[in-house]
Amino acid sequence: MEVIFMLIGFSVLIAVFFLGYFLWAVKSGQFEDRYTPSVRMLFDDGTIDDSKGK
Amino acid sequence: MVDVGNNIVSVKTRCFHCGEQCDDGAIVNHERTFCCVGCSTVFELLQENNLCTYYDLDSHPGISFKKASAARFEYLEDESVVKALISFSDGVISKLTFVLPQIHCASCIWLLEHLYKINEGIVGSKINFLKKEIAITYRHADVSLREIVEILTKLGYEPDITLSNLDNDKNVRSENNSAGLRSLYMKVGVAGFAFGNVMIFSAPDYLAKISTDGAILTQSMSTVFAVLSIVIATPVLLYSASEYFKNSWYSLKERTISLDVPVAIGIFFLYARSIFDIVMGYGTGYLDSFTGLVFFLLIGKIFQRKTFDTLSFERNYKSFFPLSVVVRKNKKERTIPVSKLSVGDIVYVRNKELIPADSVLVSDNVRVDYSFVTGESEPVELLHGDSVYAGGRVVGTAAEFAVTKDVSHSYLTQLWNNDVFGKEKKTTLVDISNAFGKYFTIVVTLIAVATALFWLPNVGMALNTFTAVLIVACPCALTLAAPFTLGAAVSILGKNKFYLKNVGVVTDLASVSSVVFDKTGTLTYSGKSDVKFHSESGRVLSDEESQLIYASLQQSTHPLSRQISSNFIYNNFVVNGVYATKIVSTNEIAGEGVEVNFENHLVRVGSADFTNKYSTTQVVKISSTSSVYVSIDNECIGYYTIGNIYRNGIRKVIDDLKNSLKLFVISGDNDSERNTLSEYFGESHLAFQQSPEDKLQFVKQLQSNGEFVAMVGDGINDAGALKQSNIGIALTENTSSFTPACDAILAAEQIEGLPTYIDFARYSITVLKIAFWVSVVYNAIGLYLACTGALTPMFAALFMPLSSWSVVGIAYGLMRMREKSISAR
Repeated sequence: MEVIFMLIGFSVLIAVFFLGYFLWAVKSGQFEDRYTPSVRMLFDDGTIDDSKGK
Repeated sequence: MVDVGNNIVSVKTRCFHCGEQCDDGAIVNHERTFCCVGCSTVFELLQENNLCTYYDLDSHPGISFKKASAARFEYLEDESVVKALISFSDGVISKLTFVLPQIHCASCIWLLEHLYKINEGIVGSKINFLKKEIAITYRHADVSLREIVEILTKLGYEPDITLSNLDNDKNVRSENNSAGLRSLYMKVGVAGFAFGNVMIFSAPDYLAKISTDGAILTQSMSTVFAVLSIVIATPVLLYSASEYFKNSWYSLKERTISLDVPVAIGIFFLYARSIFDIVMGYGTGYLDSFTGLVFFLLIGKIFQRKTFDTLSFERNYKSFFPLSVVVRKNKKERTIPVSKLSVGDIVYVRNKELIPADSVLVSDNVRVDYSFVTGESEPVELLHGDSVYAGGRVVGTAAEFAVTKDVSHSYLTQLWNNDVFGKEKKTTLVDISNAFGKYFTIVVTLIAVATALFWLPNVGMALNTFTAVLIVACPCALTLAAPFTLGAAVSILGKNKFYLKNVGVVTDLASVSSVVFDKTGTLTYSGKSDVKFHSESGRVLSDEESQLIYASLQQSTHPLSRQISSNFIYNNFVVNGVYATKIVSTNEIAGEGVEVNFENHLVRVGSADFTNKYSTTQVVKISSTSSVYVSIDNECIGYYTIGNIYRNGIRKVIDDLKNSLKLFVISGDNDSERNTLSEYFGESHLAFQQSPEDKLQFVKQLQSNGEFVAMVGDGINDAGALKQSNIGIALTENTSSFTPACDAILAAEQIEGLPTYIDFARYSITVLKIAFWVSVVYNAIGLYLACTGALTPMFAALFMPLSSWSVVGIAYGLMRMREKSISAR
C-alpha cells in the first residue's frame, strides 16, 4: 500500500504542472481575445500569398 | 446646374473593392471595376505588395471611400501627441494601439496583420477583432506615427483618435479592467485546482465513515491527506478569496457593512475551524466545502462581469470633439492639436466640422447647426462678429472663427464642471446589499453568541456550535443568486440590443418611476423630416411645376431647401422626367429666399414675406416656423411645411409606459411640436428650449420630488441629464458610433421594446426575491443543525454546494424561461 504515497505525489505534481500552465496562459493574454486567433489560423502562409497575388 | 433624368444607370456593376454599386465614373483597372479613385488606389497598393489575398477571403471586403472623410494628420508630428498615443517605447521600437471602427471581416484582419509588407518600418501588427483594435509595433527611425496613420487611412481604416485618447487616465482604466479580469481568471484557476484535489483527498475519509470495516485508511495516510489538503487550501484563502477580505476591510473602514462582510466571516471560520480540527486530530475539517465555496463565488463574479467590449459608457465631450484644428496664422494654414488652441487663434472650420471652442465669427456669414449641443433641428444663420458656441457644426461654406475661450472653459464643456460628473453613481443594488449585509451580519452574530452561551459549560461544544453557525450562515447562495439572475438579465437584454453598463442597472431599471424623453433624435428621427405641400385651393402640383420647384430648390443653399429637395429624390418624383427649360439666372437673398429665372418662368422660393412681396396673389402666413413658400410667375401657389417624423411605434411605447410611469419631454428645440406632443404627454409634462444645463436641473427637480428618473436621450446636449438621472439611457442609431456617458445604450430601432425591457427588469427582481427566500429557507435549516451541534463536515460538503446550486438553478432557469417571450416581442 505504500506505493500510494508515490502515486499521490505524482498526481499532485501533474496537477500543479497544469495549474502553472493555466496561470501562464492567462498571464500571456490568451484569454484576452477569444475570436481573432480562430480566424488568423485559417490564413495561408505568406509565401503562398506571394505566388497567388501575381 | 442640375441634370435630372440623364444619369439613370442601368448597368449595375459592383465595385471590386468595396462592393458598392458603380453608379457613375466607374474606373476599370487590371480588368476589374472600381467605383472611385480611392478604391482603385487601394487595389493598386495591395497588388504592388502582393497582398491580394485580401480579396480572396471575403468578397468586396473594402471600405467605401465615398463615406470617408478627408482628415489631416499634421498634428501627429507634434511631440506631445506622439507621446500620449504611444504605449511603450525603448528608443528603437515603439508600440501603440488604435481603435479602427471599420474592421468588419476576416479580410480586414488579414490585411491589417500584413502591414509590415507595405512599410518596412512596421515590425508587426495584431488585431483584436472584438474590440476592433490594432496593436502596432514599429521602428520609429524608419517610419513615423503620422506615416502609419496615413497608410491606415489610405487603406480605408482611419484610426479613431479623439481628445480622450490623449488623456492617459482613460487608457490606464481600460488596462486596469483587463488586468482585473486576468487576475480573476487566475484566482478561479487556483480555487478550482484546490477544490478538485481537496475533494479527492477527502473522499477516502468519507468512504471510511460509511463502510463498516473502516480499514480503508491507515493513520499515516490520513495524516498525509490532511497535510496536503492544508497546503493546497491555504493559497485559496490567501490568494483566491483575498478580494472578499479586502472589500470587507474597506467597508468596515467606511463604517458600513456590505454583503462581503458575512461572506468573509463565513469563509474565514470555515478555514480556521478546519485547520483547528485537523491539527487537534478531531477530524478532517471542511476544507473541501471551503475550496468549493470560494470557487463557486468566483465563478459568480465572472458571470457578473459580462461586459460589452466595443461599447463605451464613459465618454465625455472629449470623445466628440475633433483632435486637430486648422489654424491660420500670417496667411499660413497649420494643423494643431485642439488642446494647444489658445484664445485669439483664428481657426478655419470646413463644412460639417465642429467648432472646437467658443469663438467669434470672422468670415462674413455662416450657418451653424447646433443640434449636437441644443437639440435644435434647424441651423442658425450667423453674421460677421456674432459669437458661436463650441460644439456647433458648420453647414455649407467653410468659415473662420476667432477663439474667445479655451476648449475646457467653453459653454458646452463647462457642463462637465457640474458636480454630477465628479460623483460615481451609486446603484440601488449596492444600497440593498449593504442594508441587507448589515442586518444579516448583526443577526447571525447574535445567534452565534446566543448558541455559544447556551452550550457554555461545555467549552468544546460552545466553540463548535459558534463556528458552525457562522459557517452555515454565510450568505453564499444569496451572493451567487444576484450575479446569476442579474447577469442573465444583462446578457438577455444585450441580445435585444439594449446594453446595460453593469448588473446594478437592472435593479435601477426595475425601480424607475418616471421617464424623461429628449425630442430630437429620440422621439423623432434625426436627419429625416416630414415634408408636405399645402395650397389653399387644394391644387396638386403638375409635373412641370414640381420640376421647376425642384430645380429652384437646388439653387439654394438653405438647409430647409436641402431638406425639401432631398425629399423629392426620396419620393422618386422628379428623377423620372426631363425638364424642358433652362435656368437663365439665379439670385439668392440671405434670410429671404431664392429667385430663379427659367427661360419662360420665374420661380421664387423662400419666406412668406419674400414671395408675397412680388406676387399678385397673397398667401396667409402660417405660424409654424418651418415652412417654405413658393411662387411661380408671381403667383403664390402654396407652401411646404417641414415637420418631425416620429419613430415607428413611439405611440405604442408611450401608451404602454403611461400606465405605470410618469412621462416627460424636454427638448432643446423650439415648441413647434407642442400640439402634437401635448396630446401624448399632457401640456404640463413638456419643456422646450432647454439648454443642456436646464435639462440637468429638470431631472434634479423631479428627483427632489421623490421620483426615480430614467432619462432617454441621444445627443451630447442630454449628457448632463443622463448623468444626473438615476438611469441614463442613450439611444443610438449605430452602436459603434459615439454615445454620451450613460448607464445603458439602446439601439434606436429597439425603442419599441422599452416597455418590455422595463417589465423584464421588474421580473428579474421578482426572480431575485424568490431566490432570496429559497436561500433563507436553506439557511434556516442549516442554522438549526448548527445550533444543535449536528453539523458534520460530510453534511456540510453536501449541503452547502447543494443549496448554492439549487438557488442558482432556480434563478437562472426562471430567467431563461422568460427569454423567448422578450425576444419574440
